[in-house]
Amino acid sequence: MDTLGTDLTKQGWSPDLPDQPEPGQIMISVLSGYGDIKKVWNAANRDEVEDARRSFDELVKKKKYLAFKVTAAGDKGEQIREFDPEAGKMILVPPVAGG
Amino acid sequence: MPTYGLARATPLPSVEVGLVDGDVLAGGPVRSGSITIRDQVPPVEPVSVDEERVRLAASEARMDAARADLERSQLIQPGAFIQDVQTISGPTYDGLDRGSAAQLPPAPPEIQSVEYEIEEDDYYGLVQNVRVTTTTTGTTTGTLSFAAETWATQVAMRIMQDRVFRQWVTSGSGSTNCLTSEWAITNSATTTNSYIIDQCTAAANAVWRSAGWQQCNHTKVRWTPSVVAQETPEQRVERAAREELARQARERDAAQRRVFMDTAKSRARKLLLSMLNPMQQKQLDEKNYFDLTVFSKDGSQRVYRIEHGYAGNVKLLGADGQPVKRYCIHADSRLPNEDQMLAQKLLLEANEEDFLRIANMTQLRAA
Repeated sequence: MDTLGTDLTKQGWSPDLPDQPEPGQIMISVLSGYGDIKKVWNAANRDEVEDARRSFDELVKKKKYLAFKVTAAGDKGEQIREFDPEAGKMILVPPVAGG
Repeated sequence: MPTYGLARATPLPSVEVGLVDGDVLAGGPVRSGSITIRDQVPPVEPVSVDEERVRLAASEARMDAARADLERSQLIQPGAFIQDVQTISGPTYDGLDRGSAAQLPPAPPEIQSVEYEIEEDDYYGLVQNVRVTTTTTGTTTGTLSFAAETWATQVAMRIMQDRVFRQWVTSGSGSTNCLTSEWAITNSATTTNSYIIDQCTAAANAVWRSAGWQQCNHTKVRWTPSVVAQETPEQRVERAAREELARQARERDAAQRRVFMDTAKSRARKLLLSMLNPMQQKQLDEKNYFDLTVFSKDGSQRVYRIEHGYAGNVKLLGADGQPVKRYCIHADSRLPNEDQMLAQKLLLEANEEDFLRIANMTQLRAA
């Protein structure tokens, strides 16, 4: 059985990045068979922001992942449907279904 | 201990092989016991390197074909229904609790051993690529029969008869009672119906999702056809060596897989903990669940309990703190449970309406 997220790891997503973005970074964390795998972009670099947006759209709009903007521990996340470059950290969840 | 010679192009690894009375090796009949095959034993019947290479290549090709056949017949998925370890040998499988012994389909000669292993990933029973055909022979009764594309599929389906079809309760077109290897079915029309069971997602296949099948554990079904007994001693030794190497490889793979899974689980738990408040972290550490207070759009407030797991693990608590409803909702089952729990938490808090719309709900008691 393939590990969920293997295709993303081949595109540079990694489970080994720090858990939180540094100031000025955009971080997207995707739940996968590896645990969460992440990627960071420089929020001040327009090209990188666009790259982050493309990644977000690929997963959320095409593959129907759920996206949540998260902040401090214990706070509730906010579901987002559009890429938010100001979000800091976003967690993407593979599509859910009733069991 | 006697040493038996074998002609080989390359040295064999040391391996112990069990023998039984009457087995014949190069030195003649032997009594029960074991032998050790060592590297560089003198050949008794010299075989040219080229001949050996051709023979080994042919043997590998046959095994590759057999493996491919097995892979094509991936019909038993994690969480399938057969309980307990069953090792089945010989031309019949009387060892199963069945009404009568039935002949298995004859094995193609290239297939020497087939093993189905169902991983410990409990969920609903899943079956893929199995075609079940009901053929009515009259206006009211008929028999349930099978059609499978590969030999391995046929064998597995026959093995499943008792364990699966005995529990057959209803189908999309009529009811059946399954007591032996054939089943009377009630059907008002003279038709042939085929059901392709494909991951049990269609409502028409609800029979495969009977609650009784949800609790199956690690299961292994092994079928060794009689062709194995027809091997020559040399072939048996060669196969034993090959199987030993394969077994070691499987063990290495399993060990690596365990490390991988543990790492993923640890990473997921760390992320989940980072998203919980101190009270929830304490609950998770001590009780393996955490409670979540959700403020609904209508202004009301509900408390949900997310237990460790991924299916049916979310409970709505009543005023007395006891579960009232149970919800089943999850992402791809390859996610670690802690990631599933985080997904449930995030969706429940951010979009309770969607959560309740998607989840399957079970009422546990009156509110």
